[in-house]
Amino acid sequence: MNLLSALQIAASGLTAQRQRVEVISSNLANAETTRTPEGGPFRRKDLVFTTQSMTGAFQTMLGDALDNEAGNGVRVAGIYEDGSPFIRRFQPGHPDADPEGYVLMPNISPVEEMVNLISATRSFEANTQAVSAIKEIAQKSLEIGK
Amino acid sequence: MSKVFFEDNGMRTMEKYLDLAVQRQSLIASNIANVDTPGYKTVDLSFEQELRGATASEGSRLETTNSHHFGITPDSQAASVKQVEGLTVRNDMNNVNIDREMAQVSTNALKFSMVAQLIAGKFRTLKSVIQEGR
Repeated sequence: MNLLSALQIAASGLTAQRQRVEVISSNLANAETTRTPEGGPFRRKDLVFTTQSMTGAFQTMLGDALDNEAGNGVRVAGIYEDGSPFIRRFQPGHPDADPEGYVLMPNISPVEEMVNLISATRSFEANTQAVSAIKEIAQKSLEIGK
Repeated sequence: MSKVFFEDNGMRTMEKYLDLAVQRQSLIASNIANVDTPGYKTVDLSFEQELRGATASEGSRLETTNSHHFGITPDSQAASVKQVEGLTVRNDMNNVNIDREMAQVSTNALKFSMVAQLIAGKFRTLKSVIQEGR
C-alpha cells in the first residue's frame, strides 16, 4: 500500500537524522579527548547518506499488481573518520604534551558541530511534519465512508 | 444523469485525484527524507497531466463522430515520476529545496482532504436518497 510506504520513507528520514545527531553528540562529547583505544586523540566522525529503495519482500510480491512509483527512502551508507589534521595546542602542563609542550587535540570544531546539530534537528522536524501530513491523509480517507 | 451514481465522471476523477495525491505524498516524503543525501534530485508527479490522461481515458473523452474531429488521446495509465527542473543545485549535487517540499506536503494533504470531503458528501447524498425515499 502506497500510503504506508510514504510513512516508511518519512520514518527512514527520521532514523537517518537521529543517527546523525548521535554522531554529532559523540563528536561534541569528545571534543577534548586526547586518549582513545586506538591511541592518539579522538578523530571526528561523520556519516554519509544514500537513497534506499523502499521495496520490501511483501512489496516485491505485490509489485506487479500495484504500480509502485513510490519514492526512495534514505539510510546511512556509513560512518567515516574525518582525515583532517589534529589541532596542535600549546599546553606544556598536559600529561599528553610532546617534549615541545604541544598537545594533539581532536580535529573537532564545536561551532561546526553545533551548526550540523541544528541542521539535523531541522531535517528531523521536516520529516515529522511529513509523517503528520501522511497521517492526516490516512485519517481523511477513513472518513470518506462515514 | 444517465449513469449509475458512483460511476459518473466526477467520481472517477476524484478517485484518481486521491490516488495521485497519495502517490505524490510518498514522493514528497522521499524528497524530505533525502534532503541531506549527496547527489539526490527532487522528484515529483506530472499531476495535472496524469489526471487529464486518466479522466480522458474513462468516459469524458471527446467523441469523434467525423474523420475531421480530433479527440483527446488517453495517456498511459502509470503515473510518471519526473525530476523537477529549475531548482538550485547545491555543492553536494543535491537540489532539494526544503521550503518548497514543506509547502507541498501541507498543500497536498489539504487537497486530499478537500477531495475526500467531496466524495464523502456524494455518499451522504446517496445515503439520503436511499433512506428518505420511504
